[in-house]
Amino acid sequence: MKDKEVILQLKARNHKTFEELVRELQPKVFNTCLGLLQNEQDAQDATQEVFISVFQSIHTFKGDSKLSTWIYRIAVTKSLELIRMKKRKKRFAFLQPFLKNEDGEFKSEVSYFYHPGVQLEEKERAAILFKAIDQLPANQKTAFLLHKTEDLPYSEIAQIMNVSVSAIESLMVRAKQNLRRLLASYYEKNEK
Amino acid sequence: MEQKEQWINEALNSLNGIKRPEGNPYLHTRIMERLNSAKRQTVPARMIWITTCLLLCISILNIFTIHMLLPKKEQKNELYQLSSELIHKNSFNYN
Repeated sequence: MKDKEVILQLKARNHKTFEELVRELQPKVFNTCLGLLQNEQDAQDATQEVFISVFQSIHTFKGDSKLSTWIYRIAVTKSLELIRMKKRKKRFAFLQPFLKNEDGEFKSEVSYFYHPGVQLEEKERAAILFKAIDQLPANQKTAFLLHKTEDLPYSEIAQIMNVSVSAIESLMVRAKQNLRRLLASYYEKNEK
Repeated sequence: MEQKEQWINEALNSLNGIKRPEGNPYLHTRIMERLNSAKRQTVPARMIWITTCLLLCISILNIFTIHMLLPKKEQKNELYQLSSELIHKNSFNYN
């Protein structure tokens, strides 16, 4: 079904169309949330929130982008909101081990995130990479993950993040530079 | 140095070929349950309490303000005396 037809059906509260949309886009939304949140339960919750938001606010969709682009944007927003909320909760936690010094060295926390979709032989390295990704600024993290885990072109990432393609190129360059620095720090501490 | 760079490059490429995991097969059912329960929900009790407290505070403030603005008994008497004197003076001038 084409986008226009789907949007019309969703606005008319057609449950069958909505069910098909959920079935079709759930893997993309879940994978996006999973990369950002690095926790399967949180990603499940965020995915639910995304589709509820789609159902409730479809009347606000102006059709100036693809429906999937709009839904990706909601997924990114919801995931980043959840990250901010968790950080706020942590700030008030009484017990918080000091893990990071002021030079921005690699945080070596107890748990690593093993993405279920990563190839078996890459699981350990990918877990280290995800730990480094987690320390990137939100916009660099988002651009990098949308490109690497969702295989989206820069043009679509630019639409999702509402910035120019050159801004995405710049974010990717900075993300890779920061990741190299963090991985180098990890290597110095653990792999030598 | 070369070994380090190679390790870093391999780490950066470790997400190549990543697959999308299967999501929750009951997602749609859960979403519809939540949407339907949101429809059935009445005004939450918390909202009622907050509104009641706000109305109470506004009422108390209003009563307090009116009480402060109303002239007191002594002030009323002074005003009455002053107005009587003025009337008396005016009537004296005409006479």
